[in-house]
Amino acid sequence: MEIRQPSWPVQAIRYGVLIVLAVIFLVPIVFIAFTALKSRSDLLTSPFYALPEKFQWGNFAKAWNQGKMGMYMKNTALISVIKVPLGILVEALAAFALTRLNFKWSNAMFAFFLIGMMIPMQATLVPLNIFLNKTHLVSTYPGIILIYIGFGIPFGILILRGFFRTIPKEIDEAALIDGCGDIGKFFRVILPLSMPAIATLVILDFMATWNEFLLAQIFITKDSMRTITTGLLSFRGEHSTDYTLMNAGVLLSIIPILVVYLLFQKYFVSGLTGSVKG
Amino acid sequence: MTARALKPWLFLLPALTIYLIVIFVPSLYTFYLSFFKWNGVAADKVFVGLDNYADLILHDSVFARALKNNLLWTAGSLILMIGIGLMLALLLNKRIKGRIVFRGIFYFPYVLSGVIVATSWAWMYNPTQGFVNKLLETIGLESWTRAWLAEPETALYAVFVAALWQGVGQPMVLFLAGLQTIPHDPYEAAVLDGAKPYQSFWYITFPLLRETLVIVVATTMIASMKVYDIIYAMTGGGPAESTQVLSSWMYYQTFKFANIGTGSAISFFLVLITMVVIIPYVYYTTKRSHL
Amino acid sequence: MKKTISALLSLLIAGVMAAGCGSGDNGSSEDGQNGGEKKVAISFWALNTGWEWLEPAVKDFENANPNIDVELTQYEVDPIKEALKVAASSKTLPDMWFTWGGTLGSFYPENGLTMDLTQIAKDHRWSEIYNKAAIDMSTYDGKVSGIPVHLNVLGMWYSKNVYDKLKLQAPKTFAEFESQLAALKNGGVVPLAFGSKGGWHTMRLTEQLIEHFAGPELHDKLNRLEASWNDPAVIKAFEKIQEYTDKGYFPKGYSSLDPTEAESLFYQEQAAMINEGTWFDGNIMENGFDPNNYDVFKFPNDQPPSRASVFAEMFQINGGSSPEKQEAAVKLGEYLTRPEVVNKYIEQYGSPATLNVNISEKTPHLKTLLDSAGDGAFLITDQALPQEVVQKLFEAQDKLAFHEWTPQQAAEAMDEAIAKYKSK
Repeated sequence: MEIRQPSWPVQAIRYGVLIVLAVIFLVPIVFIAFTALKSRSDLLTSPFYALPEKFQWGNFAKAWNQGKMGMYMKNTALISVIKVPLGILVEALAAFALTRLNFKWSNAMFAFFLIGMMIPMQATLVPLNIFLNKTHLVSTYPGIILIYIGFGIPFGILILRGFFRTIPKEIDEAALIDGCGDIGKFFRVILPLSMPAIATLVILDFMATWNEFLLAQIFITKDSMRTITTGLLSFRGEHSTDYTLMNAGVLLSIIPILVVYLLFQKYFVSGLTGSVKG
Repeated sequence: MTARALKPWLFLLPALTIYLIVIFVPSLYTFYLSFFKWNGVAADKVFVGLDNYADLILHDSVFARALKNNLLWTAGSLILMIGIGLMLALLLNKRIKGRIVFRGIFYFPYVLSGVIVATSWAWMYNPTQGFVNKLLETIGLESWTRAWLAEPETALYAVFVAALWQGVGQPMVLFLAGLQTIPHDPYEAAVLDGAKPYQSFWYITFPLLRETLVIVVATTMIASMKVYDIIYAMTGGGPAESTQVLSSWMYYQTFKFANIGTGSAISFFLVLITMVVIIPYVYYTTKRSHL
Repeated sequence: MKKTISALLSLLIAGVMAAGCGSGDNGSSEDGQNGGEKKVAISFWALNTGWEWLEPAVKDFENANPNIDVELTQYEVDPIKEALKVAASSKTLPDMWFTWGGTLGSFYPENGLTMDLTQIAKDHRWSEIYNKAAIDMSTYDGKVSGIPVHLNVLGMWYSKNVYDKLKLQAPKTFAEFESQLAALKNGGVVPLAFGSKGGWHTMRLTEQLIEHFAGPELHDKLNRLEASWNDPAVIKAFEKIQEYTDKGYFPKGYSSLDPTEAESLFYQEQAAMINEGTWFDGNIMENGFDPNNYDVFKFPNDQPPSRASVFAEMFQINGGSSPEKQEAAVKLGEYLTRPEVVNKYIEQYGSPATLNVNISEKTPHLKTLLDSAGDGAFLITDQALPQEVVQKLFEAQDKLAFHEWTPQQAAEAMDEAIAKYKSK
């Protein structure tokens, strides 16, 4: 994006701001890591910001085993790997209709989808539970995935519609000349051009699915099918909580999210700009 | 209906079907319940018309406080969350060494589960042993130390800072993606015309970021109106209900007091006021677009 | 770019296929019989942390009863309340579930969702097996509605070190208790390690102050909503909360302190006393400290009899489940509360409602506390009052601390909340 080399004071200010902010952002993260490495008695007799008396690296293994994290992570991965692409496909098809097909009800339908974002999830739990029960989808992956996709739709459409709109209409016309139908246009033109948007959505959606708690807790009542957030909360008890293991567990549990983030964030720089020019 | 008119509906079909099943119909049911007094189980629901809404507005002091808190939270998020998110995205869109690391750091809190963020920040705010007060003491601002979460004047803001720390990654990621859609050509032209950097931001970046901005503003506003987890985990709505928000109060009414009607009414009140702002906003910004 | 798309698509297809095969039943509504042999599958929801013994105990049970399959699902505190409420509204309750007593557990029997265990209690001589108070607290409207599992008694825990240092001994009278608060404060120790986020720590003091000023009879009436809270005794109790706050008897910022943070002050001996219950030996141990360094006294409320605050926890059984499932659930519930089983897991079990069990030496204060309820007990406030009224009390406690309300105003607010609840 940068055209000319900025003067050194400008660059120095940029680094200065970034480094200060990064330190502020890192401080709580460091404390969270400290907590994960403390013993329980150490945690309760020293300030939160203090270094661990003795580094308890074993906490990670303990959290992994006690929290049954292997099983829960596998379950969550299965759900996410299905939910995220499937959801994005469904959302992209809808966003395509809203932006590319001269659809008369385009704005009205968009507003209709948007309302879904405003509804608090808790308000839908009972009717959804009745629905899942009637369709025998309680405690099944299709059931929870269907619900996750549903709750992801408004946000996905909002994002994708916005990005689709920034793709110049001339490109459509070029595709038309190339003999692409609407399906072809969707898969061959619009989707590839929207990689930054899709990458963004993958990152955000994967994270939201991975960390989702409320719906999973209500609609998965079989321990062997539960997701990772449930496993982490099992360190929180009726009368006391093991924060050391909980923090260790959380740090382990977010590794996949960070991997997905690192894999997809590169599309930010190699996405649309390149394609438009090329 | 002609095939041409039918086509958009075909593309919409999967999303629309799932949306209707998962969100729309259940919400209608909740909307319907907001006109009843019901404990969630009893065979008879008592129809009370608009009483649940009237009671909330006229007789429920916690509801009023919650609404006010939501509005404060929304204002704060719109200004600070979006402002900082945009600033980070602009900075990290430049040629900066280690920008992947920086992006990772700012995004990191966003992936942490809410419980951890809440407890960690609560401990940082601990009045006698917390990092925040220790830091203030160390730099000679002892008079500024206080029980951040325990004073109704500061509790909400203290939670907000934690939420800001956690949440700024989302607008940042969205803005970063939006910045990628801006082609180089206008900048090159601007440089040739001798534009100053702030001018090229104001006249090129900003208008071209508009679609992203609409998205970020809409999601931030909606999320602020629905905010719940972090507040519930950090203060439970206290002290003295001073940090209740609509969603947490809805939770209390529905799950703790078994007042399903009142809980549903809060949900719909929330939807209604969000809708009144968001839909015209999105419409207006959409109409202006030349694309 | 094409590669990404095709990768995305193949993921998708794999996903659809995987989604297609991942089916299961929830085990709560369908019965798990297969073929000729009669196998009963029951679903059971309970708490997780602090209940680690449940999983192996359920396994033992399944081994002893090969014709019964138990699908155990464990939750933490708030989620189990949510999950049960949602399940109740959509008629998908499990065959057996854990619940607290009082107004937290009454929802299910009052709405006809639980099995009436009165006859079984009689036939199986529960009165000889379980603590009477626990059975009483599992009884609603004259019907026994739960299998008692825990009977928790509250007391004031204190650090022996701190008390020794200041040459104090467990107080016998309210006046002595108050003089100790002052002595501790003067000795540079926070007297009461309260973390009242969620309201409980303060509430456990408020209820004893009300007991002290109002006496058992009026206190019970207040809790049954039969007497006005705008009463001199309540106002005096509220005045004390305000006074103790003003005098710095609680930690700084206690109204938003998490109970864990309060516990931390207690272990560091920066604070002397904490208002906890029969489970607290377990907490001390889990957190890596020695229970023998601490002791507990019954709150000296100067009343004859001096009553302790108690609450019960129970397993309720689904009234709508089939008779075979109900029978299996009763069997499981009784098994889990049987003296042999309790004894086997006693160190983790908590405070059993079952009589004639061997208390572990590792929980030295459990017996003292259980015995302290022998003279009499009252149901803990957050299970005695309707939840809306409890919430108002929590608000009142905080507002008293901030001087936003006078004790008089707080008492009036309680009455208002009660009137509102009654008019529902």
